Amino acid sequence: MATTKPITFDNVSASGGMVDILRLSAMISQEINLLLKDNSNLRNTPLLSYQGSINGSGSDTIRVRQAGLDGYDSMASATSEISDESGNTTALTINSADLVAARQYIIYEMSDLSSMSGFGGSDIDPFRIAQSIAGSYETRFAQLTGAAAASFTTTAGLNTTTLSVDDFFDGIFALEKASIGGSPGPYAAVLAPKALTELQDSLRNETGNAVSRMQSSMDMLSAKGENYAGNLFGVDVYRSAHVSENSSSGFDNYLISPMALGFIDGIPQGVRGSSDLLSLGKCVVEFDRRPMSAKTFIVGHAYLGLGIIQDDRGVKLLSKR
Amino acid sequence: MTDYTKYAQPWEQKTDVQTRIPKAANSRFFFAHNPENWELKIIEGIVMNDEGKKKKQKIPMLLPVLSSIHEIPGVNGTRAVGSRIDSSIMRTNLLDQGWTMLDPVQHDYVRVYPAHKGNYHTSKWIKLEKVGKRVIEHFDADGFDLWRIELMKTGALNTPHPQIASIRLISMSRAMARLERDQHIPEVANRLKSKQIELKNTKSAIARVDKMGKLAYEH
Repeated sequence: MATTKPITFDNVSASGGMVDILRLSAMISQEINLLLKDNSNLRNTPLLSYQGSINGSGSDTIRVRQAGLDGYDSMASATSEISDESGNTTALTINSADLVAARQYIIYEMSDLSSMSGFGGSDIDPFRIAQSIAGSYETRFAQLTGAAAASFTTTAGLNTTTLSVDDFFDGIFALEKASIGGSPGPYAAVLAPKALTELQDSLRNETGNAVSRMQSSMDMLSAKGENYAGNLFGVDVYRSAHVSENSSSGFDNYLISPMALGFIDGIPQGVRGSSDLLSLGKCVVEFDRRPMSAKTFIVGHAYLGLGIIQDDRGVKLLSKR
Repeated sequence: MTDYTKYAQPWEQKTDVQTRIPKAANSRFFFAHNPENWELKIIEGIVMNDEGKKKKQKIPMLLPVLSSIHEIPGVNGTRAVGSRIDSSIMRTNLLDQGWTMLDPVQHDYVRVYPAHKGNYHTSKWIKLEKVGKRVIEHFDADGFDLWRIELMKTGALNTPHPQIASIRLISMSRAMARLERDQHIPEVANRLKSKQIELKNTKSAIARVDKMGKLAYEH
């Protein structure tokens, strides 16, 4: 039997539709799922040299001192067994790299209504945002590492071609022939995701047995979820979305060895007048309350400086964007 | 396709809100060149033959590989001083290492777009378009090459030192040596052939610069 007043789900309330009155047009999920992100970096690896904190140092800059010792200079033959060589003293070779810490920040602004209407637990509120800021610091660290590496003098590959095994070999070659005796390992390559897939393609097309039958070559081709992509020819390969994009339509991927890049930091301590200050590793988060507008600013700060310490220990691996 | 340069809706009053490109902001940059970094390009030019007649010819040229150096407080000695960015330490280090910096104002190559959380800085040879949910970048490689040739012609950048340019030959020879054993495979033979041509062209470009200096970039 046909009815004239059916109870329906739609939103036409005049004809018995329930949506927005008795039913929800969409039920939101209890859990907040994360969007794709990339906050991996090389901070806690020996590849990046930590040069200390600026806290209590009297400056925002740390000068990394370098000297040619322990075999940098070689001896010379004396002219004769009794010759006076006092005029042939050796000048000590010295160098330095300045790392400057600068303020990095992120600020969110949240109204009380948006906070209080959450489901509780791990729903988004000022504290959950504060926790998220620790991840923002790691992302910023990865970005600044990529920006610092973009100034390496030596380059391999080109902005106009995809990354190939040949380019990768050129990069290793550049590190191995760097100045005196080559740069000591371990080596690591940080590649943009697109560049990594190009390198994998190039690896698949390798015909030489020494390369194509190498176990590590096979490992490099297998898909991995995390940023570590495998070890290729003795180089740890990482994928990073924060490799610098240059303005010649290329990626500034990079290959480094220890002491190529270094970093310094500073953490605000004993901040007067701050009632809610959370110290989250290397960054601090404060809540700035605006009662007149019923909202809270969640402010994250970090003081960070990254830079090249020894240019010979790093290579820029260019590839087409 | 969205044209971000002229965005307006005729039925609305104009607002102050600008259209922003769907890309994250980046910092300002300048181009710099280190005398070690060159790439081979084949440029179509007109040369005089032995009879004094003009003739079209493909000329191999070594063009400078330009690095985009971003000025970000906290990176390579750059700091924020008041409301400006002071990159003097970084610039001094670059000069010490023999880089030549190209002033963006003098050479007019930077373009700035309003973007997500600030401005997006890129070069004038990159055109941005939105297709679907992706921002596509079109790079005018020919225009960029012509500009680089102009930099060489005007002396803004020094010509490559033949000895430094020759370092490229070593890596090219290494790449060819890896292929030589497998040249019975047609695909490898093709790759080898293209690398041999590249090697020949690079040698020719080096010889041209060695002989003609800055004039090697006239075409």
